[in-house]
Amino acid sequence: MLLITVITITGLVIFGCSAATDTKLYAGTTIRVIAETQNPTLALEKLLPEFEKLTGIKVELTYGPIDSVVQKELLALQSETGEYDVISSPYEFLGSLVENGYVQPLEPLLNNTNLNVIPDFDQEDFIKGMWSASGNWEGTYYGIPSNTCIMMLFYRKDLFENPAEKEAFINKYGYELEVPKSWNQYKDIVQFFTREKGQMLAGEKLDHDFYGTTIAGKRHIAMMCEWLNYAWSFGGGIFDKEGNLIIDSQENVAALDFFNEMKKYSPPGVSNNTWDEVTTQYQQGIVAMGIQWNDCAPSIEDPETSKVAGKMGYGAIPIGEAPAAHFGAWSYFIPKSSKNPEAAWIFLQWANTTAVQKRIALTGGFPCLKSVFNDPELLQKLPYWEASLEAYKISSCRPRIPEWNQMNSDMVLELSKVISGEQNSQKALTELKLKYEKLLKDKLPILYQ
Amino acid sequence: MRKKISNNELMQKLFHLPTFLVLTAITLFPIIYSIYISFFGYTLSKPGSEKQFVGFQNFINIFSDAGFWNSMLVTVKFVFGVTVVQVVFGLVIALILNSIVKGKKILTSLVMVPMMVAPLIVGLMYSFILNPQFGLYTFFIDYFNLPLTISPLSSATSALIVMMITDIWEWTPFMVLMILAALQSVPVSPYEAAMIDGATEFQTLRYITLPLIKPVILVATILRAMEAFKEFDKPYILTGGGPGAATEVIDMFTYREAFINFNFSYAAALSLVLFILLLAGGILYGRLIMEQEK
Repeated sequence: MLLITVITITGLVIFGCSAATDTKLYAGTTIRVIAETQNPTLALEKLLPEFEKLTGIKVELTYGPIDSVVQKELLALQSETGEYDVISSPYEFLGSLVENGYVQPLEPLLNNTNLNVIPDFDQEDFIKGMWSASGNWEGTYYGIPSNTCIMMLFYRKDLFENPAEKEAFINKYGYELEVPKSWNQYKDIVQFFTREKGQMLAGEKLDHDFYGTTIAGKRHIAMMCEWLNYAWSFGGGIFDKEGNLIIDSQENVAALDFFNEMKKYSPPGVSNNTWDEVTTQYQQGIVAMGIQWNDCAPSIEDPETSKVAGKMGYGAIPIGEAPAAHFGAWSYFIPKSSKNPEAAWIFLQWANTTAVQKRIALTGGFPCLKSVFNDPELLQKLPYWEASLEAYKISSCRPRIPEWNQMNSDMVLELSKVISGEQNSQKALTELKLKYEKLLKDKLPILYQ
Repeated sequence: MRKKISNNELMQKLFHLPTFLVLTAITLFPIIYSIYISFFGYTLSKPGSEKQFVGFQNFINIFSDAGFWNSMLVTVKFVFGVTVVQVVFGLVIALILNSIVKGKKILTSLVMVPMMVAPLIVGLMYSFILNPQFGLYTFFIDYFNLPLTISPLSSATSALIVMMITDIWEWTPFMVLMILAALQSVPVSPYEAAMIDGATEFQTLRYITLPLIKPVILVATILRAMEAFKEFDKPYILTGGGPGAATEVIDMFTYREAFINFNFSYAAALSLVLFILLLAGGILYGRLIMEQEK
């Protein structure tokens, strides 16, 4: 009896200790992490003390705006200083990061059971599509999503459900006012809701102009993000299935014409808009509907900053030839030059546990875990949650090839020329195709992107 | 005695050494390095490109790059526009300030304020003023029903004009300061002579004041034009170079090539071309001044 007790106690002590030391395997290590200034990053920062308590690994987190973060990362990677142990980078840099040999494959870490020390971390919980889009290059995993986001339809639910508006709409257009499924419907609704100061809206006299929609028309990455939804939905895109350039296709021209036409129904000055200005316009309650990143929804639903909190509805982008939803993600990568890849990996495990991701979700972030997307509390609390998950199912990615950065820059310039009225869609896209051909040359056709 | 002097010289050199080293590290080295990489194909997103020697290819590419020529044109328009207006405004304001007796110091200090504001802040300030939803500009247009566009940054021509206005607002004080200093150092005797001869105020200005302060105006113009040539902050904040490429001044273009497209070598070549152009401009103006003084 005594013997059994002793053995049990010893066993408990040994196993207990080993479990305890496991998470502390790299205690005392300091890792440096860099990410974009966005809600999830700030939320993560607040949770870091817990990670330090659990593992004894100290995390130095730095963050900044997109351009400067990317610059810092690429310079650090290129000069192989080992300055960062974890970088969070937009997924379209994946090809560039891998082909330059800047980041290490995750498989050796994923398969090293000794390193799987965070108890609640479960690889199977990842939504596979999201994980591969943001971290898998030619069959190997290099990254893990740090924040996923997707574009979807934002609309004023209160207006769409208003009986007076519904009646007026059916009288004018001869069909029911509902969340638009086609682009013709979209245009009708946008036109319908564009009103001048003094006119009535939902039974109230407007003391300001009201607009059917808004677009991000600044010479900025935000414009490329938004327009690609139109292009894909209209049946266009950048490459066809055979990897040939179709950037000047008739579908793309139509999509760009349509996008440009939306200017008429938008608040003045669309060419100053990035996603930030667009978000403000929703918050001010001067816009009825538009296509926007889901990670802008939390601040539109915040009663402290927004006049329309609780009044918004979220749905799928209208379908032309095909469904479209632009997927965007920031991914964590471990640089090859990192001196503490193991500790970095432990950090990534922890950051992708259900508990951490759920808390990030509550502050406006978007995870990549099934358990968090299906969490009943979140589904009930966050009005944009369900629509986001639906959008992920039909999502498309922008190319992740090393040349994309230059291609993006060129695209934004040509789109901007169209929005400012300097150039027509056909000419701008033809010009863009020439630039792409010159850039990609013998790399065409692009079979893997 | 002699030994002491040479010791002193040595000490002087020693004391200058840290400054020399720091300056070498932060200015001379980057300049030489950027000249060096301008002959390579260094692109941050292409592995091994930093070792790929391309000779003068980058420079050849510059001259066949439509984007470069567009930026040059935008820059020339911008520089010409702002410098001319600043000289005129600067002269007028300086003459007014020079003629008033009471409150001159306070007014002069007030006029100088825009110049003290960091250029980035000027950009932000104007972006708020021009905000189509809540900007001060929008408010005035609305209130007085002015026949002006509500979003001047949206069209190519008006965006460039807005950019010029911000720069004129910010840097006219510099002209005022220079011209005012010149006016105050003008000798009194020619004016007394003119008064006795019965010259009108305009004649005094045209034939005495202007010729006397002309060298200063020229110097100030060169300085301002060269500064304006390097404009970056305001387009960066206000338009990002857009709409289209309507406000993409040459520095903005170079910045984009370097830090957005990561074409380091090409950007280095661009900045070298810019440097040579500015140097040529400087020399030309320098000659002009020398001739004036003869």
